Amino acid sequence: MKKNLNLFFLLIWLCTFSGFAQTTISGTVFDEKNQALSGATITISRDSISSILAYAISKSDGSFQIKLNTQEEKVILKASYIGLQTVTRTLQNKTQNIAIQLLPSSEELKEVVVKSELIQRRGDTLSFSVEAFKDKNDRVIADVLRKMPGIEIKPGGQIHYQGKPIQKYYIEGLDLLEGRYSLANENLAADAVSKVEILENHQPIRVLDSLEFSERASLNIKLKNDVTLSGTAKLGLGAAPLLWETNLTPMLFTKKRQVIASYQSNNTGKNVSSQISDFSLNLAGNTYDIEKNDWLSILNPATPPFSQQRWLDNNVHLASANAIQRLKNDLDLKVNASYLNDYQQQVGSVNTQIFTPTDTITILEKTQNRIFTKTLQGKLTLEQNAKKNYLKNQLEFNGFWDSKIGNLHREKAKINQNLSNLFSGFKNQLTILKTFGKQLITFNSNTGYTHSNQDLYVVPGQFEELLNDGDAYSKTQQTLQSQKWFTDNSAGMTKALGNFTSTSKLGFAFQEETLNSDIYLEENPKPLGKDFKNRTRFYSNEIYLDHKLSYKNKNETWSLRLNTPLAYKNFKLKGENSQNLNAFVFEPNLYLRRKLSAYWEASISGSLNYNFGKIQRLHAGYLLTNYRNIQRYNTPISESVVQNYSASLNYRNPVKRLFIKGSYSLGHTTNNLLYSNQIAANGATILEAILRDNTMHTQRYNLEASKYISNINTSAKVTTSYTQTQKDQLLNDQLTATKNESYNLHTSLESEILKWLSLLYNSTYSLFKSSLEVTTLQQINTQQHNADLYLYPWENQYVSIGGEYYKNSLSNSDNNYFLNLSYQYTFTKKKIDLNLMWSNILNTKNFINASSSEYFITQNSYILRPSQVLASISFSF
Amino acid sequence: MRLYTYSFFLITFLISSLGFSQNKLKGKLEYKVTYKLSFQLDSTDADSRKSELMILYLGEDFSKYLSRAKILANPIVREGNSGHTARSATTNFHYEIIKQRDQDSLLYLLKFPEGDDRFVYEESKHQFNWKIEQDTKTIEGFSVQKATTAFAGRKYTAWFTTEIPIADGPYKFNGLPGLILEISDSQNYWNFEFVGLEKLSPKINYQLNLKQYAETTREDLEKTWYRYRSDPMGYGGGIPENITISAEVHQKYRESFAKMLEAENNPIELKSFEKKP
Repeated sequence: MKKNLNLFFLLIWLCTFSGFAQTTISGTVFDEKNQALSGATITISRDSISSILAYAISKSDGSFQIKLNTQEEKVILKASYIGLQTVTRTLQNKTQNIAIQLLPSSEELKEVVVKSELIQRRGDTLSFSVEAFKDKNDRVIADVLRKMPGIEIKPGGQIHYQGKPIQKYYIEGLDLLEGRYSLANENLAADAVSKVEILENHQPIRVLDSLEFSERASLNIKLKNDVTLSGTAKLGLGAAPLLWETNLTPMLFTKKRQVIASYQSNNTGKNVSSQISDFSLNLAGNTYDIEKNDWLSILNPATPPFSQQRWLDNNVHLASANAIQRLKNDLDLKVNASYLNDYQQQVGSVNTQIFTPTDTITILEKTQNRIFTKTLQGKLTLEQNAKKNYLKNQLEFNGFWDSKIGNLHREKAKINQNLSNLFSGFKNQLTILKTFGKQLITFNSNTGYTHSNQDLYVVPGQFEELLNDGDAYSKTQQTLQSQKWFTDNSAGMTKALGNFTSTSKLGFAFQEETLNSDIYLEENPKPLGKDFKNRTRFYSNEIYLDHKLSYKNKNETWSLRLNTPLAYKNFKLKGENSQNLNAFVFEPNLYLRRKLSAYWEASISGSLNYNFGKIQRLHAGYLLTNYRNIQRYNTPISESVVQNYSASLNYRNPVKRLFIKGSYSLGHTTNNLLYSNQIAANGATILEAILRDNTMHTQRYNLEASKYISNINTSAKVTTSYTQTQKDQLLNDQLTATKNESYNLHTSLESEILKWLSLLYNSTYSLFKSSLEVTTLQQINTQQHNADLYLYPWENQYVSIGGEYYKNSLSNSDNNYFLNLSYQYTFTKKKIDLNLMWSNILNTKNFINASSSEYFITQNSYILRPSQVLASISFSF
Repeated sequence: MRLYTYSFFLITFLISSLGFSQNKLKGKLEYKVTYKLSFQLDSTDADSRKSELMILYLGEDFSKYLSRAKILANPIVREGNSGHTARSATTNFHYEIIKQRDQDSLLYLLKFPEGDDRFVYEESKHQFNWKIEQDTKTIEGFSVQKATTAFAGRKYTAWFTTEIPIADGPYKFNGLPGLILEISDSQNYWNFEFVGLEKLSPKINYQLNLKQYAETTREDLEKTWYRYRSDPMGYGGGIPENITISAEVHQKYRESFAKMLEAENNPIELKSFEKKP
């Protein structure tokens, strides 16, 4: 049919062509000021109502040319331009040149209003059918989500849509897990889900709906049934020694109530707490929190820098439960609780070299640590999300019961350390949002309490000179109780004026902290005297007015951020070292960025900050923080003024794939206290503070460049930096003006050689030099190389080969290398996955790495998990 | 050392005030034409069909075409400090197309959604060999006439109206004696429908500083954009330092992105189709 039609047109065309001669109508179009009009439309038609035969668009000089093949004697020419009167002329059909003037017109284009539902649908919903994406290997909803367009799941479990983290993860419209959504995402059976809805531009807080356009999307999981019971189970067994891995996660969903419970246990080094880690963004950044503070510790070797599954010797059990109940239309009650029990063993050694002005001290410590952790966390949340106001109240509880036992061997001594560390904390956080016209008012109230009880036993007793008149003794006990309560309340307002956004916040905060500590020797029931005990109370109060201003010009070539917080602070210390401090502080912070061209960008920043002593550095009595470290601060409250300036210049050429960045920063700190280290020949360190004004200067140069070479799929990167620090230091009673310089060169190569083969190589050279005026005290060179090769020869098999090598100028043994080989095989049948994994095939025993600092270097050796095989089976229900 | 310090600041300052030669486009936008674009990125999967509203702004000297999501992402109030908030909303189309009335070329501008990289390429406006057909109909009260053309590997049917005497249209389409109100390819994979026309009052001021855009070609930009999309993290010259990711996971990422991009086999301008220079 189509062919016939074409033939027909061809015939007509042939007829017209052969029948009539071609004429050309040309001319110019101009306006009332005789200016040439470009882009005017000139059409030729048979008569005023029929369709167009030929046309032209006027060029920039106003000229046009129309070729015409028609038999008509007369034709109609129309010349139009938006906003001008259309000129219509009847012309003879012959080649000619004409001039057309178009005069202004009051007539306007007819408007067509876009139907309102199209505009108001800001929250655009996209819905994906799970069936369309699911294949037989997919068990949980995360497997299916991964395949949906625009969705990525980051290694930690965070979901991104179109490159940005999602705002909310709803199940049937309920936000059960808040930021801990990966628990549902990685355990809800794909079969139970009918649809995944992507709510684009979703504003989860309804008050803000008309004020704030959200650029982020949220996900809503639609289930197949009104009542759904689902979940996953996994069981793994391996050797040697006996290994296990279990995961049982049942879930219940209805429209108004949802429950997810989970039990997980393993001794394979796998981190189970990632499933309960929180990805939600905190609405109000908090300085007052119920973070656990570890005052006392036992000595442990630094952990290797690679995946903990290769070195962590654990035995973990985690149980968690989450429930949500919709009370009213816009009122939800949520309960989240989790309990974790873990037993970890660490075996390793630490080789420390300490450089004092007179001496070099070398300590070799072999450690064997056993760590018992019990953690209970709970959250009770009431959330009202109505159109006119938003309220969220969250009550949080954290409890930690940790105990650590460390056996430490030194050349001539054997030391036992025993630490018990109990911590509990409550916090209540209330947020209210209200709108007044186009302004947003925010109220925040944050109140909390923490309690901590820590005991450290060291056998035999240390610091004989200081604690026991130089006589050896059998045992030291450091006891410590600390408490804290705080309340922080503020009201804020956000306003936008053109390209400026201004946010102000007025608030007040109180905090009271107490520290009680004692040191006991041997079995003596009476603690040591007043130099070794603390009965400290520390009050810090403040009234603050924060103001933030940000500016971005329209084409984003300039951007500016200026923070100007003002605060009146009052500190009161009671106890051995009672004192009072009042301060009025202004801490401005400016960042300015200028985009110079498509490739160049420059930025500068500057800030001024005042730091005041924290209770951790305000105790007048000695505190034994670990077996060879004792410290006290019998001085006024520390006050330091910190100034920082930086400038950077950036070149980016994405087309040529070349990126270069250079920056310089300068820091200047003045401090009223100087810290003094007394290091004994056995490494025992006494830290004290002395009242003496001192300054510290830091400078840093940084240059980095990277290039992607497309024909070999390789990116290469080089980073170099130079840092110089000048400061006063008290080391074994000698005040020295020291200068530390460090130079680093880091190179890396990342190459995807073939689809099934990729290579990664990293190397670091560093040079550390410390000098006293002109005399160089010491100079250390270290270098480290590591290379990893990944092979995917077949779809269900995977081999990784990794090697590391390091060397330093001080250590005698220079053959420090490490090789790891692992293999994984996955066998998939419908709904059941079988996975076989053989890791550390070469059975490498330990990993050694080194680090250096101002006056010491340490070399850590860590015992790795042995060669092991694990088979696991997983299914969903 | 002091001297170096000052000279560094000085150099930075000097460069910033050098005053790169200005290459600006300035003008007022008078009309806003809204199109509904429905498209199918995966030719093998009819379920992958999506739609989005697109805007063509008509100004005195030029027109600007972009996704409506880019306009919406301009909030009245932003909570807190928005220095880090990107302005691009979620859309499949991050580019803008500028057609200047007195130029023979059009500009294709693209700013990558994350980061600050901006690109521009220039292309002839006269890529369309329109054939006017005699069929007419009305769309939203405008009488329109049919025209056909071939472009980038597809055959298109367009409907234009002389009642809006502007030789413009959605995407790169232009050159008919009136605004294109509807255009679709023969397989209906890419279909633009007219939804509305609005006179802007007051007129919107528009300014474009082309110095901020890296000049490139269509082929190079397509490659760079593909590379960005297939590995957004590694694209900017290696993984940023604040992200720790194992090479194994990074590899899995790239695989899943590659799969996602494989499914987008049906771009408006077909890759296999090479344009004549």
